Amino acid sequence: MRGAERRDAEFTEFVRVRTPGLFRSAMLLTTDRPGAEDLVQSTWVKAYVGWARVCSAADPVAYLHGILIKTFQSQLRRRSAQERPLDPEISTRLADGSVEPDPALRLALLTALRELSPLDRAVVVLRHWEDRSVEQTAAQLGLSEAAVKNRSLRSLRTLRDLLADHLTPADDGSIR
Amino acid sequence: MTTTSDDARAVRELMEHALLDVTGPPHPEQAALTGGRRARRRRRWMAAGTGAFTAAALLTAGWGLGQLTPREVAIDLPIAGQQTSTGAPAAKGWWRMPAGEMLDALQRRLPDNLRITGYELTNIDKAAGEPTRELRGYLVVTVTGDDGSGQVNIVLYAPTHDSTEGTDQSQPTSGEPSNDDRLSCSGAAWSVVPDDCATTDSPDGTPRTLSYRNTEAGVTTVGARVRTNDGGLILVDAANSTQPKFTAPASAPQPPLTTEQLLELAQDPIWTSWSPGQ
Repeated sequence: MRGAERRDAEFTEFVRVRTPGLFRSAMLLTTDRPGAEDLVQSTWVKAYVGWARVCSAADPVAYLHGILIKTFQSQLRRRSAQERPLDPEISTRLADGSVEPDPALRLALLTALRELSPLDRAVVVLRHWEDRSVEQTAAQLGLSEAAVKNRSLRSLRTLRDLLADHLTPADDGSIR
Repeated sequence: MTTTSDDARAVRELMEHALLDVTGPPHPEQAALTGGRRARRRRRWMAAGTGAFTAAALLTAGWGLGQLTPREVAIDLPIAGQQTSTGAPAAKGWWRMPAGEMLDALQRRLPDNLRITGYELTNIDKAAGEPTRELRGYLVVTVTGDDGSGQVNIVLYAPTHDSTEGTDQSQPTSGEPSNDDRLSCSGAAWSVVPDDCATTDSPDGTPRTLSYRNTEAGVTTVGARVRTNDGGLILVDAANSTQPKFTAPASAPQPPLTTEQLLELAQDPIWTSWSPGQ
């Protein structure tokens, strides 16, 4: 197998295995399926172009998710900061093509995330979905660590309030 | 009472539950591979070129190049009825200057503190089945300076009502402003009357130049129009917005160029010096 063919085979396998995880992060960032599909596709294009760097990274998966975040930020700079209003068809679209264990919950989550600023969403995704440290999140987003903490705290409070009906009560009665 | 840690854990669990069956589009491999190969080809062509002029030459050979930045989102063409939308080649003249050469000309005339960070040279708004063509007489670029980014739009208009040319471009299409309209501070050429607008006339009393400034929803648009000796028109607009049609939000405190700079740019002989034989 020639070098280019081997590279393409490796890339294709990486795409196949990593797309589901990448797409979930993209859903949380963009809050809609078409936006997530675009974001993931753009991320894969950049990953292909920089495939050597992806492969040589200490953690290729983390590197890939870094591309996703940077692409998301880049798209934000080009698009209106105004978030799209809730698409009345979103629940239908979300249900298309897959079995939904709880589409109402997903709709509620995406609707709540849409209340956050895009940058706050990125903080939530990095800190609480991808389990990055405050330091890593700050470096990825170009924020101070204090700003990451503040945005994270504020976002969690907002989500807790908006999703109160969906969050699981703990044994002591508090919301967990 | 809940703690931040509780909130974080609860939100994480909710996200996992909500996204349990979200797996993304089926079979993404081929689209990723195709898009990646295309992007790599573009990058190689850009690396091999020595500037926009080379890019224009490649376009002439049938290659559609992207922007300087990895920009997948296309810029909407902001002016309805502009010449690239007709599909048919317009009359030959300086107003048919290829977008690649316009880009090269603009790049050499920008102040040192501004650099071009995005552009579109092909007809991205083409209809289904319409081939990709290089734009002519029309250019939109994103420029970036110390205070942020904005856009500059240059449009070259053929002489209107010019019977010697007799093409779909030289005659304004129905409802499209004439060059005289574009040199008036009110009327058909404007969807919103600008805040400030000034015109100058030629010695014979015909309108010669127009410059304007308008602020709407935080975005300031400045522009200049200059009538050429043959009755054509050069339009140059700039705005502190990187959005299609110069819409909000603002991307910088001010547009990248001032009205005076745009007027000077519009009067530059480079635009009318191009000829179809070049």
